[in-house]
This record gives sequence, C-alpha cells and structure tokens, in this order.
Amino acid sequence: MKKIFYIISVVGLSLTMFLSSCDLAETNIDPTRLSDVSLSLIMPSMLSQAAYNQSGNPARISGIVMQQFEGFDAQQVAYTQYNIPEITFNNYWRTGLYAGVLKDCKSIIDKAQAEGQPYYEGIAKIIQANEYGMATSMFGDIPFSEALQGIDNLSPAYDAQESVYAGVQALLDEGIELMSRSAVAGGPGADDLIFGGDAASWIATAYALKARYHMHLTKRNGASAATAALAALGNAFASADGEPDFQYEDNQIGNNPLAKFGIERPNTLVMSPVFVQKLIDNGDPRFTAYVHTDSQSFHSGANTALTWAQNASAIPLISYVELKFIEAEALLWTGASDADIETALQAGMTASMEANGVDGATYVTDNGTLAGLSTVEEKLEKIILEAYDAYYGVAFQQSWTNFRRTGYPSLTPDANGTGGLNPSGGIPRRWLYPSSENQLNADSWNAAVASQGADLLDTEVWAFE
Amino acid sequence: MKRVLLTLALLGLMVGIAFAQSKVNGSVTDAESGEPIQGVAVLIKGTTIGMFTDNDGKYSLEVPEGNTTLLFTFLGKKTVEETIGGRSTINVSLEPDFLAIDEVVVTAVGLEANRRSLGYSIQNVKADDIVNARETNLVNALNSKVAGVTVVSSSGSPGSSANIRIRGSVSINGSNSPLFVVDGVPIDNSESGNGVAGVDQSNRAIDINPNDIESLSVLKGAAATALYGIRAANGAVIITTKSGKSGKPRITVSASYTVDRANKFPERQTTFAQGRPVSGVPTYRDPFTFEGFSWGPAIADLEYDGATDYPFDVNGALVPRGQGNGVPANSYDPYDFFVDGNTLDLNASVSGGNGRSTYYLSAGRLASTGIVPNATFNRNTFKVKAGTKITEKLTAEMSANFINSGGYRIQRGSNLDGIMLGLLRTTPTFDNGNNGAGSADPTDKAAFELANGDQRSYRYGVYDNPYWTINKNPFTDDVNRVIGYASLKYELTDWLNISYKLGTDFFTDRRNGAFDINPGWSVGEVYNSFRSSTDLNSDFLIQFNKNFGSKVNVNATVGHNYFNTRVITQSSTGTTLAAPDFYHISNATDIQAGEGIFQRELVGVFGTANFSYDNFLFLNVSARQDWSSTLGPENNSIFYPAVSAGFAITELLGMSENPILPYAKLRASWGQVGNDAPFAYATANYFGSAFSGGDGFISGLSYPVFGTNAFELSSALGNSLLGPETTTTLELGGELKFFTGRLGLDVTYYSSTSRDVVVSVDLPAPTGFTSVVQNAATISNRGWEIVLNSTPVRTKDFEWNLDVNFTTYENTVDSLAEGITQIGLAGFTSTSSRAVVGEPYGAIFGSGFQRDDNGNMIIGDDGWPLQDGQTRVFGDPNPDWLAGIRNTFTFKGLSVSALLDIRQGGDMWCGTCGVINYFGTSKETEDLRNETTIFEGVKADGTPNTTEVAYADPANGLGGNYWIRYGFGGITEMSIFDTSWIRLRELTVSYSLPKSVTNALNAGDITLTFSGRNLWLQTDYPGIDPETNLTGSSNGFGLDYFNMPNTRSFGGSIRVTF
Repeated sequence: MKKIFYIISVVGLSLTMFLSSCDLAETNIDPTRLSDVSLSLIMPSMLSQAAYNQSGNPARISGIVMQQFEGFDAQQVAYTQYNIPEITFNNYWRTGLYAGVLKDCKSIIDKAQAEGQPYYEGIAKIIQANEYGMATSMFGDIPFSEALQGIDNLSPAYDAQESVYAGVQALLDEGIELMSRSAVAGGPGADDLIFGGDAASWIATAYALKARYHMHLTKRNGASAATAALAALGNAFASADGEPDFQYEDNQIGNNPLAKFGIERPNTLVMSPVFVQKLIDNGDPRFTAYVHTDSQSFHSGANTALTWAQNASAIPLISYVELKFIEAEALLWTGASDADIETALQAGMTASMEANGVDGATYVTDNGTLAGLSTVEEKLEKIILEAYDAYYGVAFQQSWTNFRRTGYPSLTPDANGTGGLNPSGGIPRRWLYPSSENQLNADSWNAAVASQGADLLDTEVWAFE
Repeated sequence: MKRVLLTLALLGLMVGIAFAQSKVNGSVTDAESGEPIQGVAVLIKGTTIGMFTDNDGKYSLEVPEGNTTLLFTFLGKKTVEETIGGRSTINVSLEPDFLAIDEVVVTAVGLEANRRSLGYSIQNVKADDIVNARETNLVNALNSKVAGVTVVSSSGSPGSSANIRIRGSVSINGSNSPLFVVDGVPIDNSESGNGVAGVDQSNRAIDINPNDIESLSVLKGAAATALYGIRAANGAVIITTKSGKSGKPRITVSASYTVDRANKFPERQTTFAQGRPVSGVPTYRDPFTFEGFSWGPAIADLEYDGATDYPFDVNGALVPRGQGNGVPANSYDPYDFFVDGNTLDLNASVSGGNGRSTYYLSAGRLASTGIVPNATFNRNTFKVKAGTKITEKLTAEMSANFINSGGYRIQRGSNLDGIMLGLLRTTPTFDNGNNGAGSADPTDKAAFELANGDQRSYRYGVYDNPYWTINKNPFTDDVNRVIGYASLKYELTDWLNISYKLGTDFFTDRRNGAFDINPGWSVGEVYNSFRSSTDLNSDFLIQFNKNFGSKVNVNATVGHNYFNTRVITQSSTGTTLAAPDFYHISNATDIQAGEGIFQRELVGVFGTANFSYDNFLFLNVSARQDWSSTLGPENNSIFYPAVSAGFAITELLGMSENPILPYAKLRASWGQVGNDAPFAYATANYFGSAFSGGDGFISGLSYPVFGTNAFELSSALGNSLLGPETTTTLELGGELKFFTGRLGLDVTYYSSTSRDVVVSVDLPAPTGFTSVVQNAATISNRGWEIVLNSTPVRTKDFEWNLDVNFTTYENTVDSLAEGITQIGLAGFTSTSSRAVVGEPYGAIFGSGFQRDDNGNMIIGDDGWPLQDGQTRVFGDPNPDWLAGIRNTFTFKGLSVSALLDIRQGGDMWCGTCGVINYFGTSKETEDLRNETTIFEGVKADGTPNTTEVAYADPANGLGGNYWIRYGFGGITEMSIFDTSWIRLRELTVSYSLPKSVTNALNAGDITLTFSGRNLWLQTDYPGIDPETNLTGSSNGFGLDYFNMPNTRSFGGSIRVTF
C-alpha cells in the first residue's frame, strides 16, 4: 500500500509540476502587440485616419445629397433617394471618428502632456477640433465633453451643438498656444505626414479651421461670425503651398478613398447628370478634371486627368480654395466693397483652377464678378455657387454645410425622397445618428433626441435652423 | 461498445497462465438465425482472462485451475454464464437482449459506465448509421440522429462546414460547438474564414474518417461533461475508434461512389430582358452599359441583329422586334452552369492481435468534386492504433492518425466574385456559358473572357461571370494534420490503477487564393495564409473500483489535466498583379504581411465518485477545479460540482421479468460547468499595428504604409477583472422499456442557465473604445428530448424498427451587459443574427416598416408602407421542434432504412430573394411586375389605407419600384421566411450476402449498400434548400445571402471483410 501511494505521488507530482509550471498570466500577454509605444508611432495613424474620414463615406453621401454624385447601383441609389438609414454611419462614427482618429488624438494628448511635448499635443488638438467640427456639422448634438473617457464613462452624454462649436474653437486656440511654444527635443518630424513637424504650418492651419467653423455659424451669429472668420484668416496660410495636404500613394494599399471607392465599388456611384450638365453649360474648364467623359464617372484608373480620384490624389484637411471663398463670403457679411469681395472670389476660383491643373483665367474673369447683382442675397448665391463648383472632390461636406446655412445652390429634391426617414421629402438637413448609439448609448441618445428633435434626416440642427 | 472495452481489458491478459490448466473450446451461434457469431467475448468469470470468437464463432481457452464458469458477452445479446463442469467443449447460442440496459457506454475522460447506472442522458450513434450517411463531414452524419442535437450544414460545397449545437447555444463570442473527443484526446473542431464572403471553409472535424469510428456517444448536460472541464461546456461528442482484436488478421475493404446534384434553386423570371425604364418606358440596356437590372422590355419584344462581332452573344446584339434579323431573343437558364458532383470514398483496414498486443491500421481516400465545376475536396487518412502489455501490470497504447485534406474552393456569399451572386443577378437575356462553351468545358475562356482580355459578363465585369470566378479566382487549401496519443496504464491492484495519456492534435493549414486582374475593374490580388495549430492534452488518472459487501460498489477517479493550444497564422496579401493567370505572391506589386498568435493554457484537477447499491440505486458526485490563462489573474480559478442519481424502480420491485414493464429508471442530475474567455489577451490594453478605416464600402489603410509604420491603441478595452462564466443545469429524465424491450421510451427535460457569460460587449464609440470583454450575459436553455425505440414487427426473418428522436428547446437571451440590449453574432450591418435581450438566441435583426401600437403597418399618403428608422428583431431562426424518424426493415440479409427529418418553424433571412427582386430576375418580379396592390395597413390618421399603387409601373422609374424604393435588397422584414421542412434525409438499402456465398468467395462478410441523401425535400422557403448558413459554423445563423446551393445525392458502396 505504501508503495502504491509512493508511485502515485511521484508520478502525479512530477507531471503536475512539469506541466503547470508555466505562468498562466504570462501566456496571456499578446506577443503581437505592445503595451506602450512612442508618440512618433501614433502620429501617422492619427493623421491618416483624419484624412480618410474627410474623403470617405460622409464625403460621398454629402456629394450625393448635393447632387454632384448620383447613386447608380446598390446602397448609393437608396442614398440618392434620401434613404440613408441609421446604419449608414456606424463605421464612420465608430471606427473612423470616436474610436478612430479621436482615440488616437487622446492617446497623443495624454502621452504628450506626460512627456512635455507641446507640439504633439498641439497637433492632436487641432486635428481633434477639426473632427468634432465636421461631425457636429453633420449630426448636430454629439458627445464631446464626456467623450473619450473609456471605462470611466461608458455612456457619454451628448453636448448641445452650440457647446461643441465653442469647444472646437477652444481646442484650436489651445492648439495654437501649444504650437507657439518653443520646440523641445523629441518633437514631431517625419512622423508628421502633413507638415513634417513644422509648427508654423500647423498654426496657420489652426487659424484656417477657426475661420471655417466660425463661418458655419453665420445663421446664428450673422456678421459677427464673419468678423471672427476674417480675423482668423489673417493668420491662416496664404497660398495653396501652405495647405495641410495629406498625400496618398499610387497603389492599392495607400490610395485615396475616393479612388478606392471607384475601384472597389465599381459603377455604383456616378457623376450626377445635373452637375455634369451644369459644368458643360458653363463651359467650366474643370469639366475634364472632374468627369471621365467616356463613362460619366468620377473615377477612371487610366485617366490621370481626374484630379480628385487618382490613387495618389492628395486631400487637404482645409484648402486654400476654401479660405478664399470664406473670405469672399465674410467680406460680403461685413459690408466690404464689391471689388474686395470679387478679389477674394476670383482668388478662390483661380486657386481651384490651379488645384485642378487647368487654365481657367478667362472663366474666372467672366464668372468671378458681382456685376449686375444688386442684393446681398444675390451676391451670396453667386459666391456659394462658385464655391459649390470649386469644392467638388475636395470639400463635399462644406458644400452641404453652405447649402444648409444659405440655401444655395438651389436644388430640386429627389422625386422619391419622401420616406419614413425623411418625411418632408426635402434635401437632408442632418444625418441620422448611427444605430450603435441608439442601441449602446440609449439614455444619452434619448436625451439628445428629446432635446434636438426626432432622429430624422429633416430635423433641423441648431446651427442651420 | 462492450467489445471495445473488453478488448482493452483483454489486452495481453492471457499471460502468466503456466500452471494447471484445462482447455475449453467451442462455438457461439445466434439463437435466432443459427449463424455463428464473430467477436463474442468469452471470459473466465472472476478473472480478466478471455478472448473473442473468430469468423466461424469459434473460441479456445486455457482455463486455470480453480475457475469454474465462462461468461459469453455480445452487444445486443443476453449474457450467458456456463459452468464448465469438466467439459472441454462448450457450445452456446445467444438470445437477443432487447432490453439492452446493461450496455456499457463511455462517459467523460474515457471512463466507462453501465448505462443503467447513469443519472443523466447519454445517446449513442451506431457506426453504421454514421458511415451509411455517406457524408464527407462527420458532423453532417449526426444530423437528425440524436435528440437535443441540431446540425445545420452550411452549403453543398465540397468540404463545407457544418454547425452542431447540443442543447442550443450559450456563448456569444466563443464557439458553441461541442468538444470532440477521439479516443480520449480532445480534438480541434474549429474553423476559420467563414464570413459573409469568401469561400466555404471546413470545420476541422471533417478530418475524421467516419470509417475509423467504432462508436460515438453524445454527452449533453453539465453533469455528463463536468469532468471534461471547460472545454466541454457545450457538451461533448465522444468518439471511440476501431481497435484490433486478438485473432487472425481481419481485413476490411470498402468503396463507395455517390453523385451529387443541386437540390433546390430560387425561381427566376424568364420573360423580361436586361434594362430599365428610360423616360417611363422599359428599355433594353446591354452589357456595355454596365447596368445590372432586368427591368427591361419583354424578351418577346426583342430580336437579334445578327452581328457576328458582338462579343456578348453569338446571335448578335438585341434590338427591338422588327429592327433586326427576325431571330427572336433567347431567355437563357443560368442554372445550366451546375454539373453533377461526385464522391469516391475508398477505405481499407487490417486489424488483429496476439495474446499480448493488438493493432489496427487503416487508410482512406475520399475524393469529391462539386456541383460547381472545378470545386473539389479530398481527404487522405492513415491511422495506426496499437496496444501491448509490457508487463503483466503495465499496458501501453498509442495511436497516430495522419490526415491530409483540402481542395479547390469557390467564392460565394456577399462578394462580387461569388458564384450565386453573379449567377442569380444575371439577366435572362445573357448566356453566361456563351452558347454551350462553358458547359462543354468549364475552363474554356470563350465563356468568360473577351478577345481583348476583358471579362465577358452581363455587366461587362462588374459582377463576375460564374465561369470567370471558377477559373480566375482560385482558392486552395491544404491541411496536414496528426492526431495521436501515447498512454500507459499501471494496475497497482485489481481495484486501483493509474494511467497517463499524452495527446496531441497538430495541423498546418496552407491557403492560397487570388482574384485575377479584371481589366477595367480590378488590378488583381493574391493572398496566402499559413496556419500552424498545436494542441497538447495531458491526462493523469487514478481509478479506484471496489465492491464493499455484495451490494455496494464504489468507483472513483481523481485526475489532473493540462491543455495547451498555440495557433500561429502568417498571412500575406499582394495587390496589383503584373501578369494575368499567374497566382503567386511574386506576381504582386505591393505586399503586406501579418502574423497572429493565439495561445491558451488550462490546468485542471478533478474527481468523481460513483456509488451503487444493489444495482438499483446509483449516485455520482464529481467536481473539477480549473485555472485558465485567458481570464484576469485574480479571477482565473473556476470550481464546479455536479451530482446525479439513478433509480431503477423495476429492480427494486423485482419486475425485471415483467412482460409489460420490465425496466423503468428515473434520473435526476444537477451540475455546473465553468467556462473561460474565448479570447486571449482581453485582460489588458495594447497598442497594435495601426489601421485607418471606417467607411463600410472600401478597404482601410493598414500600416506599414506611406513609407512609415504606426501603432495605435486597440479599440478593444482591456478588462483585468475578467472572470469565468458558469452554466448550471438541472436535468430530469426517465427510461422505460415495455413488452420485453420492444418499445423503449427515454424522456429528458433540462433547464440550464448560463451566468456571467463572457461577452465582447460593444461600447458606444464616444467612449473611445468599441468593445470590452466582460462577464455580462445570462442565457437560458430549456427543452425536452424524447427518444423512442420500437420494434413493431419481429419474426424470424423480418424485423421492422421504428426509432424516433424529438427535440424542442427554448434558448433565450435573458440579459446582456448593463445598458446593452443586443450583440451581433454574424451577418451584415443591415441584417444580422444577434443576441437580443428577451429574444431567442440568434434572432434576426434588421430594418422594418413602421407599425402602430396594434401592429398595423403605417402607410404613407402615397400608398407606400413607411420604413421605420430604427432597427429591430424580425425573425427567430431557431426551430420550434425537430424530429428524426427512422424506419428500418430487415429481411434476412436485406435492410432498408429511411430517415425522415422534420424541422418545424425557424426563420431565415433570404437576402438573396431581396436582391434578385431588386434586380428584377426573380419569379416574383415576373408575376407581380405589372400588378397593382393596396397595402394592408393604416394611414397616419389611423384610417385604413385605400391608395392603390403599382408595384413597378415604368412611368415611376426605378425609384418608384416596390422592390427598389426601400433600398438595395429591400428591407429586412420583406425577406424573412419560415424554413419548416420535411426531408428524406437518408435512404439506405443494404444487403449482406449470405454466408454460403461469402464462404465460397473466401470472404467473411460482403455488404452492398445503396444510399440516397436528401432525395426529397418539402418546404415553402423560396430560396435554396433552407438547411444553409452563410457564416458556416459561427454563432450566427438564419442568414442566406447568395449561399451555395445544397445537394441531393445517391450512390452505392461495397464492403468486404476477410
């Protein structure tokens, strides 16, 4: 009997020791990821996600409702009829925005503060401001002050749009202040895919964005919005060379999202015949830079004349073209002379011609004039119409914002645009919140809907009411 | 089963018998037929000495002095005890044992038990029922055969996966597949790559050759599986493979050949041409327009122009009638793409042994082709299993099973390259095969490529021509796998032994795929992956078995288990191919590579004790303690107990000879089983390789890119407090045998609740994270399982057996994490299978119409139903009940067996239907295209809708069309259908040649079998065979989106034993 237990004990114990000696916690450490990385390794991710957000799904659907694009197949056809359900922006909101670029911004801000790296913190705040600004303009109220707190707040409340816009300006101011400090060792360099770490360029970009988001609020703040925009423009970049361009690559790994869409979702989205006809009727020299004439498509892999849908097309976070149109409109709001307004307007149009690589001098002279326009309203329409043509490919969302705050260009809503999501049948005034919010953040979503109005496409948001 | 166990018991036990002995020989025959019986265990009572009868039923034993009695045991026969009484020849005939209550079954960790003594339900499947199913995939062979088990094959593609659930689902993110255990070694039944797109991948149980199986039993509840620990939290399928038996070599050779055909297709329209309304008039639009719709004019109104250089039709381009050459336009049938598949299955085995050692060797070769041209799946298996007695007390056994499997797989699902997607959208006026070129030779480029290299398809390259896909989008997989073990068992005394078994399941899975250059659309892609998976399982057991007095027996086991798995997946994707028709990574211009590593480690100790009293009262107590690496360091310990009891009333009352009710037993059990997290590394935050995405329509940007590398914080929030989940099951049941066992009824009720279920909970993204792994959900299962076995007719030569198994269950999601009402399991953003609080597990979730409080559809002023902005549940994919009914008629050597499979209820989202309605290729759009309707519902003011609308008046354009106005494929609610079916799942006719013939041929047994599978199907489901699942054996089900069709098959086989 003794022998039996001896054998059992020895065999059993030795096996147990041998096989269980590995530390279970050790096994659960992921060998394919890191527990921490340096700032310079997060920076490229933040910037490429920001650029991707700007020319992805929100840009295309803004282009559709602004009748520069038209759905030809599948979901794009539904979008053209304003059947833009709440699932449409789940990916953008979740992977692109909050748990995408904003999460990267948060990582950088926290780490940069801990390590005393003002430029990293500054760039992250400027990017963050732009992302919130874009998002609030599209959805209205959005989570802002309670956002990005991880486990500490699993149901972030929605901030009123007014507060978000104020927060955007505050973040830009903080960014400007941080970028104005003295450089410290270990600051951004080649990892800053946009400016290579140049602080002055980021400051100019921050001012440009301040101008944009001031201008979003003309309907609320009238001339004072324009005054604030003009003040910011004074410190913004003064030529296309200063643009915060994100450069894509000529391959299928790092290509421009609009080109990607043309390649990966072929023939589902085409140029809107309305817009194409307008370009033709106007004799717009940008026609061949916008439209592949054989197929009436915005994309053609072989046609390198198309400015915005090449694999390697760069996308500016904000363009010099836009600054000039903001300036023209702001001058109009603040009662400047027609000549001054025309100067800015023509500079914007010229910048657009140049960005598209076409000779538009005659077109600009012929069309960039306020002659014969007597009322402010007529002049406003003129400026916005020219901006509409110039923003194609580069700033669809800003065209939609212009439309919502000025009513221009005047467009006829889609004949089949009335439905459960858009009872009025008009051109959408906002996007529905993603379904993930109503499902995962229900209390906050309900509060936002109670305060802002039903989660529908034709519910007016505060800024454009 | 008994034979197997006795084989083990008899391994080399005839040693050390050197002293005074007497020799006894004789033969054993069947009392009914008079034929000799091979394989009867002949044992000297009170010893472990014995042997099996040979082919002629003969045996010969040396009986040591002092032994007086022989035991003759055979499955299905009553055991006979014969006193030797000085005889040297003892012939025995065995009477049938219809009660079969003393059947020995294998329970957890390889322990064996008398069926009578169990306090929980266990069900066996006979080896013949598995082999005769003629299923490549072992899992499919279990379909409709076991109460409580639901099997859904994903499609009819060769080598496609099958989804098996025992008593519903518990896990949200982990696998719900039961543990598969082969000869005591848990094997991997995982699968990877079955998403909404791609090819049909295999689940790895497909590697088991059914011909190697000796017996299979299914353990269902927590009390049955507790000893296996957390890996058997979803039940277990226990497989015992064939072993050698002492005696001369026994050779078995078998061959089978079956033919497969697609068994059901969606109905298509044949009347209207490609095109759409232009200015209110249906207008033909040819492939050059790239347009996909079949909302054009009537085909009868078109004719050919006779142009010989028109690339899309040999008859020329289509023009309105009167403008061409008078040859009327054709309506083509795209289903002519499908061909007959076939499967050839060859198997050979040899087994035998001497007094000390036994062996079993087998080789199998299965080669199948699909109903889609070019599709294949092949499996080669080799197995060796041997045991020997090293000393009188030390037994060694080892087994090695090598498998090579894989095939050429075809793109399917939500995938512009998918076969059914391209095929079903193809307009009736386009001939994918190009005037018979494709059907004559599927590789003939005339069908799918134009002279200039462009793709020939009805949208000129947008969707792939099916012939393009099978040639230009190759996918192959190649799995090499070894499953094996080595074990030692040492008998310390006749009541105590220790044993150790080390098992491994190792495989590599190499996959190569490509999408060739599609000129004008795609620059081509090559993708490779290489997966290496290593499982190591170690079991150390101490077993105790002793009688105390004549009435009490105690049988106890304690053990230690260690399990370690490590899966490494290396992948590379290359884009922008240089040359067409060349599918090697060297052909790519830009290459991205990645590596994933999954590792998991489990340590467990366990114990069980069985007490029996006077053969009528049985009690089992067991417990297990596990530690898992996937849980938080403070919460990684899991303890769970189980207790079960059996009470054989008839034994107590002395009724065992009662003609009406000779046997009645009641069972009760309560048990818990724990489970760990199905994810590795969920307990901490990590920075991983950065990815920019979030579009939904286009691919994202994976770093390294832009000449740099980058990392970002994972959007999955780490949870260091992650702990185990626990499932508690109460099971009650009874087993009754009437009329000397000719009618048997086994009824089981169970109720189980899983708490703290580990769930990857989606977080609202404004938190900065999209998910966290938590102990959150509560999921309950309750159901009834009824098994009825009967022999309505039994004469000397003829027997009719009727066996029924019936399953009904409710699988409800009681709660998820706080604030979370639903979690996605599989599917699309628009329609998916989800876990939704208060709804059945897997509920189909999506978009619907607005309804008032009374459930009336709300209709707009224009007469069209209004879409609801919010998504919700629209269907329950779980059947109300399912039943398998098998009738077997046996007349002498001839046996006819038919298995009917009935599934009542269960919804499916026919995404295919919605999309082919959208494109106007479905039968529905032919029937209703020119009709009008008044939708039943109420207007906003509550009054009934009276506005008539036209389904597809061309004057309203595409946007006014009923099937298009709600978006691509319509909304979810429009495509939910009931899948109830009745099918003849199996029909088997087998004939064993009489002994007189086989003896003349010098063979032992010759059996000829005809098998039919799915020969008849009755269902109202409008798509393909509703036994299908887009996402394979993932947790989501009830989704059909251009799934591959299922098949019916028929064939014959021959098996010869020497």
